[in-house]
Amino acid sequence: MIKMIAAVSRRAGMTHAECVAYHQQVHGAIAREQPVTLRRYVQNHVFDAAYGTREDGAGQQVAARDSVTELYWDDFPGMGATFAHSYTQQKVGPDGPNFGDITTTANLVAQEVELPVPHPGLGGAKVMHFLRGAPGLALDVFVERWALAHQRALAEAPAAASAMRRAAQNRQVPEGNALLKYFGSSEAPFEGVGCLWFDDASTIGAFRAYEAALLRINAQAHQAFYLPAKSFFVYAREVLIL
Amino acid sequence: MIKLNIQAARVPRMTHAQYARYAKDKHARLVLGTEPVSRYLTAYVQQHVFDAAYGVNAPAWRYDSVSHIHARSAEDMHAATATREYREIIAPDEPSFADSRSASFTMLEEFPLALPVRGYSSLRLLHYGCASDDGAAATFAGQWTDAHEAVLAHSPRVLHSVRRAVLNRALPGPGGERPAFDVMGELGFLEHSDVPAISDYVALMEEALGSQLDCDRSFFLLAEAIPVRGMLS
Repeated sequence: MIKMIAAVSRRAGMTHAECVAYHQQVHGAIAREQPVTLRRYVQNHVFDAAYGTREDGAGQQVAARDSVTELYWDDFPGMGATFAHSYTQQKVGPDGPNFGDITTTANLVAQEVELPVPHPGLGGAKVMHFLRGAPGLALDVFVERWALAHQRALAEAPAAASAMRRAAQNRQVPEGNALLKYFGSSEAPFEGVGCLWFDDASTIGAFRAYEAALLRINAQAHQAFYLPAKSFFVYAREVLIL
Repeated sequence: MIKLNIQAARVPRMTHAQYARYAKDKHARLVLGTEPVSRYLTAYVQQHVFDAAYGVNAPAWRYDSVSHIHARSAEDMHAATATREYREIIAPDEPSFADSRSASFTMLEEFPLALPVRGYSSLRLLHYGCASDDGAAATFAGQWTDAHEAVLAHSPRVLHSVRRAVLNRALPGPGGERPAFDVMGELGFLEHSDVPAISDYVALMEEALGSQLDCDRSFFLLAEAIPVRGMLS
């Protein structure tokens, strides 16, 4: 499976509630009507978030995210077929600006890798941790260090590990970057998105201990893999569209 | 009576929930417990934003809260911030949760707007409006009042759950500079389920104001009001 992830900020003049309602009820219905080769479509409606890091005096992020789309295909030809289809080009794509500011979409094409957690379960609330790779770091080194950092962070934050019901790393697949022009964003693709599931909104805060451990690990030069000032996370509820 | 409006967004790496908790539990307590400062304040209300819509040229910040601080006079307001306790205790706490680059301070003058039923309410619409014509800012408050009365007359259902309606006229800055907005319409309403009606009110106000309102620079916030000092109305 190959997937595309896109974090959307609502368009001017729209509230968050209006944006997610439109995204689910109108845009989701349009996509469901003719999925072409799309295998799975999940919307993640954001209910809280944090951007950047306190040490970043420049404040490099102000685009608050309202919803995150996850689209799945069997393979690259399947993904290409969806975007080349007239229905996608004439119906689905043009509907995007009705709810989102497409110029600021944060996105990537990725391979999803499931990781073990000590107490697996369903998880009703999800963290999506968008990671911008450290400058100059090769993608394969980023992936390797991120995987190790995840294991160490689970060990260093046992309460977070215990509350975590599922974990997956979405690792950028650069061959898919050209297809991201569909979303019209001017932002460079993110190197990875960590997805972590917790029981519900009342326990999702356990993520912060895991994130603090990641930051400590990342602060070691030989283990650094991401740029916290340009990374962010959202707390969201999944809505299955397809 | 004078009222200070402070819009602020959270610091990086903080969630909205953390921000609201810090503002309510720590900062509010600090202000209340610092008597040399709080004695100058007749009321202090924190309004925690739960949704918002911004025009395309509105401020880029996504505000987490708006504080309304009331004092008997501008002199009292200045006296509060001139105290050593404000400078050494309260001001240093602000960067713990609020991003100083986002903070926008505006002095307001309140005027009541027409409303059939008044009473307690804890939810707020804070509707920040800018006049299209810079030269018309002085008459914009009158136009806003007329638009509100027209909405009340022709579409009273959108104000069914509204218990507080105030027009806040923004006053020029200390150097006479034009404020970031010209007026702020403030409605108090009862339930979260009333939000669609409140959104309809905003749309009707935009329609009634027509070309007098610069929609691109205007924005509105939906918030929960928390009284820190004084009572809500």
